[in-house]
Amino acid sequence: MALVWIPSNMRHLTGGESRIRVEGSTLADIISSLEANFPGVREELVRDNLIKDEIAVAIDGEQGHQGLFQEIDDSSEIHFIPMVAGG
Amino acid sequence: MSTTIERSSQYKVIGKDVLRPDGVDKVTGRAVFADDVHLNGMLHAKVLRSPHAHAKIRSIDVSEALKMPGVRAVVTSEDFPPIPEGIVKEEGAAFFALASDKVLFRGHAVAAVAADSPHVADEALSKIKVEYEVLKAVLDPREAMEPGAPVLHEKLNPMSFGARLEQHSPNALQQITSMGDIEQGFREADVVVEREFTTKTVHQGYIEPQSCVVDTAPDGSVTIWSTCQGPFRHRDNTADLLQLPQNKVKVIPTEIGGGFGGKEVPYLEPMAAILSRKTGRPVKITMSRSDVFEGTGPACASYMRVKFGAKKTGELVAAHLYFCFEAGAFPGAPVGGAVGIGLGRYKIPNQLVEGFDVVVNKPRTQPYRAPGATQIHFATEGVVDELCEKIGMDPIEFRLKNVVQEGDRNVQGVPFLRIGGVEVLEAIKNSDHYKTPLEGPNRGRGVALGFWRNGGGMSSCSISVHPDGTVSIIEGSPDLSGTRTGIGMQAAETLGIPFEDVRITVVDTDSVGYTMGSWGSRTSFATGWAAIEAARDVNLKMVERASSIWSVPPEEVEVSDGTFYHRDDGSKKFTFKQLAARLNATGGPVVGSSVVDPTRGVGPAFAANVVDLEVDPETGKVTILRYTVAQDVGQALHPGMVEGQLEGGTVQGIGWALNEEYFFDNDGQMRNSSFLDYRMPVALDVPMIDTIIIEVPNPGHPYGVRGVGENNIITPPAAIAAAIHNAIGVRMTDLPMSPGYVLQALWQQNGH
Repeated sequence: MALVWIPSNMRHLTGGESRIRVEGSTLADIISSLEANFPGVREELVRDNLIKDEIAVAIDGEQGHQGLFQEIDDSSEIHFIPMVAGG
Repeated sequence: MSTTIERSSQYKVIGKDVLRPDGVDKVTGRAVFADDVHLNGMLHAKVLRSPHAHAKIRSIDVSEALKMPGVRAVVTSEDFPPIPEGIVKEEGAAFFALASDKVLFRGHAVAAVAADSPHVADEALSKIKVEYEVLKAVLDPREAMEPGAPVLHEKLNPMSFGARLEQHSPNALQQITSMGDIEQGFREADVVVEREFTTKTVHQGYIEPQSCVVDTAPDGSVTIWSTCQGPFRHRDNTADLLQLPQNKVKVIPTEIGGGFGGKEVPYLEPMAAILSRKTGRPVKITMSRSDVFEGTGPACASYMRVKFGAKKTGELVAAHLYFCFEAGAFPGAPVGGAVGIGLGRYKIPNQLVEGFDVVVNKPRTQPYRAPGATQIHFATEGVVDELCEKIGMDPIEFRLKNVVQEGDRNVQGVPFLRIGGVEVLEAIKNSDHYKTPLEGPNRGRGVALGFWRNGGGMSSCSISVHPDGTVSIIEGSPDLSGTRTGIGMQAAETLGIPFEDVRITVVDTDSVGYTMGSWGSRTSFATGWAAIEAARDVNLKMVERASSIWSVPPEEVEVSDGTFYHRDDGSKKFTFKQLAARLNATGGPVVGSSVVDPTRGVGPAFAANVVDLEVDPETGKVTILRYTVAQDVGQALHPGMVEGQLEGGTVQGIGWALNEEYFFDNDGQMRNSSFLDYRMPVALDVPMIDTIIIEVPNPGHPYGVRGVGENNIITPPAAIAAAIHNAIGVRMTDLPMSPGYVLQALWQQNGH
């Protein structure tokens, strides 16, 4: 099962858990599994069936560019990172 | 002076100080900046700005202005189409348009006049009658967070500077991250230091003010010549505000006289487009310096509370960072970024970071080179310096003990790839500067460490091969810092041709694919990567052409260092020039193109500083005696320009540390909106900066490139504060550390 790192601002949905193992072969599966156990997670991450613009998804430290269709390995680590800009 | 260590030599073009192609035009005045653009029939516009920090607009009467000879049109918010909620995705739409029901800061744009000359336009502004109902203003972020504070907006846009924040109170958004058990961490600490810090509003101080020329055609399409960091953001924001399709807005980026984060949003272009539409003529608007200070976005002021705990042996065990960034009139201070990097340079098992984006009645802030990081480092490195003193540990050894390294996780939990924190600290430790004792009264030495994540994102590029073997590259990143040179060098290296055979041009939004702006230390990294991919595409197509000419399968043709050859037949060989000469007659010209989004390879970077200074105990004036900066740049594309970035950022950091600030009066009026009164460092204020270029190649980029442009401004205020303490024994907790403040601190120390 993939390991999902829960950002601080979503931990109120996961009972304070910061890392959760989740089953799924795509990012969509992962988010659905999280939503089933921790309602509200999907709303935090997804808008109009797309990962929100303001969130970057890192799979094993690398940014996934295929959105919800991104394939996930059992050994993957998944991070949801706020997008930030610069000067 | 520059010392370069770990210099790579495997490249033929990269790493050489080639002649930058834009240099001659810029020093001779041939380069075309936005204000140099003159079109037939062009009008000149001026902007009427609010004299109040917070007021309701009861009415705007433009009739007298319109009667003036030479006045052609006036624009107010009523000329903008209604803005559907959320249509301008990045920040509040109202902030690019003209004020409608309320003005939220002194300098808020209310109306603009287009006239035959700038003087007529200026005079016409005085004929516009605006009736205001002045409201109580709130100018301090902590007061703005108090119950009962004047409320600026009915609703705050939770999207703030790229990050999504939570509502905290009517004027504040918040973002919180945590790791470990903060309470337990402080219980384990042998030494705890807690202090409060503040910093003032400062401006990027780019030499060229905001300027644009906008021409609206009869079909409604808009062409914009603009000094901007991100032409595609200007295009998209303008299209959104005017509710035009994106292909009806073309932005032509002119040469840019500095930006540093201040030219990321279109302050003038939407109103100029409406004036152009109303008059059927092109319209130019160029800001005055006071317009720039009062009507654009400076870097945010801040209040910070920092508590660090460490073991006697030097290991950091707990940290609590609480900060309020003053966003100005609309949310968008760099809270998300600061939360991410605030403690990111150290391994701290237990940490809590609470960041607040607070609206107040001041100009809406914008990034300034590593947005948020300079403020945060001033506070957190200040506490680190005090911990070192209490523990009795050398400040570099303390940092070496705690700095993150490959495999450590950042605050989001993502493991770092190869990074150069240790290398920059070792470089300072081994520098002639650090090894040379500092002597004399009222003299002190300080060190500090800075960390910046750098950026990636989308870029596009196209390369055309000409029959004589030269190539033309087009890309979409405005060149703030010599980036076109570094991008062209990466293409030349990939093609195996001399840099002199490359001509590179920054083009308009119709001529190249989507490219994010020149910010976030992303340009040489991401658009450079786009150039590499476009060059690879050229190589691929030229391999196919060689295979066609030789009637062999493409897989039998190889390319290396600009030579195409058959892998088994030594007689079949073309140089790049020889093959280029055959292209048109063997199937037509070759054009390579690319679109990349290489966020995955972004390499964070570190800088370490050591500074010697002397404090005049009579006046409080601080004189910098010697300054050395070591920065990990991954692979230096052009060492000369990298050195320039390190020096430039350091000088700006020195100005932020010692002199620069907006003086606001109690009514929110800026009282020093000129370069005479807003004191930026000049050449006489700073010594030669010694630079040490550290090259720890970024494993995420084909040539090891890391962002360079922002990291260098982060550390100077913290290093200078540590040096002042070392000189006179006073902890400086507020910026700027101007003579008056230093003197006051000395008097307090001496019981006056």
